[in-house]
This record gives sequence, structure tokens and C-alpha cells, in this order.
Amino acid sequence: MAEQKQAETSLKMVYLPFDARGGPLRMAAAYGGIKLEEEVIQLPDVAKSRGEGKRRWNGVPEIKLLDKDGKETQVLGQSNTCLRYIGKQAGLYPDNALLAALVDEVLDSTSDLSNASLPIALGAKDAEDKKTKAAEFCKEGGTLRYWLDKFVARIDENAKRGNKNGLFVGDTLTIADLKFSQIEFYVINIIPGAQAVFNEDKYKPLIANMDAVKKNDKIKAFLDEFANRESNKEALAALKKMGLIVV
Amino acid sequence: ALGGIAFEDEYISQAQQGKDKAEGKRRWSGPPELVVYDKDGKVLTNIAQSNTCLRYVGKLAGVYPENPVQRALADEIVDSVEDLFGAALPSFFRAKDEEDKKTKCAEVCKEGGILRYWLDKFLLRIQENEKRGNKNGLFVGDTLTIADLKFNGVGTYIYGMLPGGKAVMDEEKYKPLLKVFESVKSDEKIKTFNEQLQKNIAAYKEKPENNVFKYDGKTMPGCF
Repeated sequence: MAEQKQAETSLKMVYLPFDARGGPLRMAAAYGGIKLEEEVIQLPDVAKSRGEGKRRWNGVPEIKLLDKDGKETQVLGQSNTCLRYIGKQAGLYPDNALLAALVDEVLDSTSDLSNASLPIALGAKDAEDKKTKAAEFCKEGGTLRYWLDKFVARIDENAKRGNKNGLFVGDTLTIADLKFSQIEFYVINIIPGAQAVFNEDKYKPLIANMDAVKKNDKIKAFLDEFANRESNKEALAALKKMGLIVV
Repeated sequence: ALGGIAFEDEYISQAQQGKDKAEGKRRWSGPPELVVYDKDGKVLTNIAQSNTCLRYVGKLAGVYPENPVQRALADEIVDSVEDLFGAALPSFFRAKDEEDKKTKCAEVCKEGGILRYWLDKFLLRIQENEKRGNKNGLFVGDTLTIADLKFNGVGTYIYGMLPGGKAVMDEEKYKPLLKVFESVKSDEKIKTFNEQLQKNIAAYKEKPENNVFKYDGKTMPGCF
């Protein structure tokens, strides 16, 4: 295999030490051989910095674009904006307008599903309330299955366009697949009962899609390294202790 | 309209949308949805999610920047307007009753509240654009982009509908944001389109069974 190409652009990302919305950005950079420096910020510091007016928009991730001399030229916020930007540099965002739109749909819809799950994981009054809300979310005819059925339909449509690799758009990874992988954190990991829904036969294509992302050589190498970072391990342990991570 | 692209506008009622969604007919969750035709007039695909549709049409119309950084700056605005709507609109769309609406909207609009938080961010983006040498008071560059068009929706929902929203946005410091609404509305093509749109909406209200309206322009078929 040829040597990994020297990074032609470099970026700094400000984000939490676990995957969530930052995960797809990291994977896109890894896939594209883009040098991504990280400025880790802890959850309480995000709220503090927001209150002090230091956030470009409302939260993180933020990416800082650096010129060839390492000087910061622009800061960008909004996770999907950052993902489109890095994805374009990495060759993961189609040039074709219609294919890009199909990718954009998955980004926006993944955000919708992630936003639907957060109030359950973070906003429940107590463990009993969380259990009730999660059951409502996961039930037959509930919100989770509504959205998962849509994502399965998109993979089916892509297959009908002649693409057989179980991805959302085309036959090679795009930021659509990378973005969808954040559902592992935002739904499977934090909503009681969600794992059981994903294990059902009809949702196998979604698990296969997530696996396709993780099995890509460049992404796998990155994920292996990321899993071993002390900051990531500590953060996940803390989230488990808080009761946020339920698997 | 800005890009001179021919399109058909099919109106559906809220009740129909609820029925369609329950029957699984919505591509994702709700409208808008675009039906994209190929050069032979055959349906290629539907696309949905309002910001996806806006980016797609914006690209065809030449109002979605090509430069990656400019494009990202436009994307930020589009996404952040959505966040503002998500933060502010439930205060009146999902209020339990008038008293609840009054309390929640006051909370949204107060000093230090979420409306002013977001509006201050949008102001900063206009100021940054100006520092880049762009003097027309827009969000990105010196000609209209999807950023300005998306922000125009704040005129409808926040300025026009949120109780207390107009009072906040009429404050001196937020004048640059009102100027964006003006820049969009005063564009000749958009002005012409809006005049026809109002006539079409009136016609639809009178006869809801006539719900498809055509706008002339250039045909821009899709392709994969």
C-alpha cells in the first residue's frame, strides 16, 4: 500500500473526549489522511464557555482551519457544517448535486433522531421516568422505529440504484455513513431498550452499515487508537457512572 | 425564483400531512419534499429535509457558494437558524394554553434569554463578513446566498409570529438583521415571485382542490 499521503490541510478540533458528534469528523479526517489536532474540552467547560460567549454558536464541535504556516484562518461550528467541510477535503462528499443531497438528507435525519433521543437520556426526572420514556420511544409504532424504517428505506433505494455495499449513497463510504454511525452513541448506548430494537432482523442493514464504517482500514486504525486514549476511557467511564451509557 | 428555475408548487394541508405521515408516505418526517425529474421528465428521486432541499436548489440556482470555506459559512447559518427555531418555536407552537404561551415566550425573549443569545451570534457573523470586505450586510459574500434566504425564515417565525419577537428584533442593535430581511425581499426576482405567491395562496384558500401552481423558468433536470 502506498504511504499515507502527507496532510495537505490541517485542522484543529475542539470537542469532548468521546465520540458523539465529534466521531464522524474524526473518522472523516482519518479516512482522508487529514491531520486533525484535538483541543479536548470537558462537558462542564462547554457550558461555562457558552455562558462566557466564547462559543462560535451554541456548543462543540468547532474546527479551526489552519494555513500552511499553522496560522488560524477561520473557525467553524455546527457539527454537520464541519463534517461537510472535512468530508469534502477527504473525498467523502459527492460533487454531484443530487448525490450530495441524498447524503445531506442522512446527515439532517441522523441529527433529528439524535435530538429526539437526548431528552430521554438527559431530561428524565428519575430512573423510572427514563424507563417509561425509553419504552415509549422504542415501542412498535414509536419514534425510534419510525426513523429506523426510513434509514432502512434509504439503504434499499441505494441498492436499487445498483449499489450493493449496503451504504446510504453510492458504493463507497460517504459522510452519510460516518454520520449515521453516531447513532451508536446517541441511541444504542444511551437509550434503554434501543439495542434490542437494533438487533431485530429488519434493522440488520443498519448494523451492517455501521460495521462497514468501522471495518474500513483507515477508520479502523483510527478507532483502535482512539479507544486507547486515556481521555476517552476516562470520559466513557464517567458517562457510565452517571448512568448515561446503559449498554 | 432567484435562479430562474421552473418548478411546480403543490400545497398540502396540515391535516393531509398528518394523514400522509401516518400512512408512511413521507420520505422522512414532513414537507417540504422535492420531486426531481430527469431530462426525459421521469421521476429520478424525491428528496426531503428542508435544508437539504435548500442546498440542492441553491446549488442549481448559483446561490450556494462553491468555495469550501464560503460554503461552510453559509452552512453554519442554515444549521443555526434551524437551532434557533428548535429553541424558540416550541414556546408558542407547543404551549399548553395562553398563560403557558405567555410565560414561555417571555422566557425566550428576555435579556439573557435564548432568542437574544442566537441573534447576537447572527449579528457577529454579519460583522465578520463585513470585516472580510463585504459591504452589503449579508451573511456570506456580497450577493444573496442560501444563508440569507434561510435567515429570512426568522422574519416569518420569530419577527412575525413569536410573541415578543418583533419587539426584540426592532431594537437598535438588531437592525443589521432586519436589513437581511430587506435585502432578500427587495431582490427583483424574489419580489416578483412573492407577488405571484400571494396570489396563488389566495387562490388556494378559495379553492383548495386547485393546489398545484407552476412557475416558469429554465428546466434543470437532475442526474446521478
